[in-house]
Amino acid sequence: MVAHSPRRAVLPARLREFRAGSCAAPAGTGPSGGIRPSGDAVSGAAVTASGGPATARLSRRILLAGAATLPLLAGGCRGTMALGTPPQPAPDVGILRAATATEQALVMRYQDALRLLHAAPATGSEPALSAILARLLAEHQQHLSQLRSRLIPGSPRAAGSGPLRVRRPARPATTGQAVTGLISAEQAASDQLLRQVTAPGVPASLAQLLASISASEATHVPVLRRAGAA
Amino acid sequence: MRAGTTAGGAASAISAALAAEQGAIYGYGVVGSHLTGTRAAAARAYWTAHQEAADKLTALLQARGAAVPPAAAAYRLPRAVRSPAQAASLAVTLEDQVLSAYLGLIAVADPPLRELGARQARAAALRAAAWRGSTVAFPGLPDTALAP
Repeated sequence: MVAHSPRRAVLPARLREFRAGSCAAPAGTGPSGGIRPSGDAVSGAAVTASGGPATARLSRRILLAGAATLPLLAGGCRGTMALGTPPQPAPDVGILRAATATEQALVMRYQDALRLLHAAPATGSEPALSAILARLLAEHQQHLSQLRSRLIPGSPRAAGSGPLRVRRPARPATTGQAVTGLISAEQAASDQLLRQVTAPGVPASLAQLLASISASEATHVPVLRRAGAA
Repeated sequence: MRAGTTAGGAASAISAALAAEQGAIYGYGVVGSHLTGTRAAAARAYWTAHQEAADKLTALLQARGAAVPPAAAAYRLPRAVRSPAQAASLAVTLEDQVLSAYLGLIAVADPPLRELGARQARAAALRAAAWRGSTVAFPGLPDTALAP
């Protein structure tokens, strides 16, 4: 970020604060350093050079007024961490609860598979399979924690819907069975999340999260297939 | 006017996805030229997938009577590609960019567009993971979209 005049040197820091905390939608924000049409003017400057001193004073005042409200906006996006106020309950609690239950069942499946691997006498491929399953399990735990952070038990919308019930998946007898079970569970979970993305009443940010988790789960399938075939 | 704004938002999200697809089509030309064997075949297959996706998005814009942004004649690559590893890394960037654009399409509250966005985001994540050789927990989502 470039400050074009010394008078505005105070602004960039405040603006950075806003950006760091903002919950900008990914729309149109590709990864930086991505492919861009040649000749496309790429401007990272938030503040552009302006005309005379009067204009400069005016725009400075407007920017300062805006900057004062920015940390509040950023706080609203980040929930409890920033302002200490509880985040609003998600408008579609049912979808969120179903996704959370599915994710919990997947975590149980991975834990069962890992227990089975650790109990079995070590032969050639177990350590490699263990490492792969542990990595995928860690991603599911991240999914679960993101979903849970949006599901606030006891909130007015969630009240009355009772404790979250998760059907425990059948315990596999062999590691082969465990991997096969994981493959179909991952695919089913990915498909289920994909359907939930288009369910009525799902807000944009939740739809994006569900789509991203659906995509992540789909990417686990080929990893498990390769690991199972090894 | 709310309806007008929503329609405009949809068209601009579709245009953004189309722009990402057009970039991927150009980029995969570069990627494929540095690969051989099955990886070159994958690059060709993925190039076709992006071409088909771009056609679909173009048709959606036309059906809405919205302007179709033309593909650029050339694109600036994020870095020079001289080796198969750099080609694979460019392919990951291309797919991530496409993935982000489709997540943008999901932000539009229109079920058919959301479904298209979610399906294409999943397809892009699968291709990205194949090039990357590993998976990520939240494909296409910036850290700022996630709870701390």
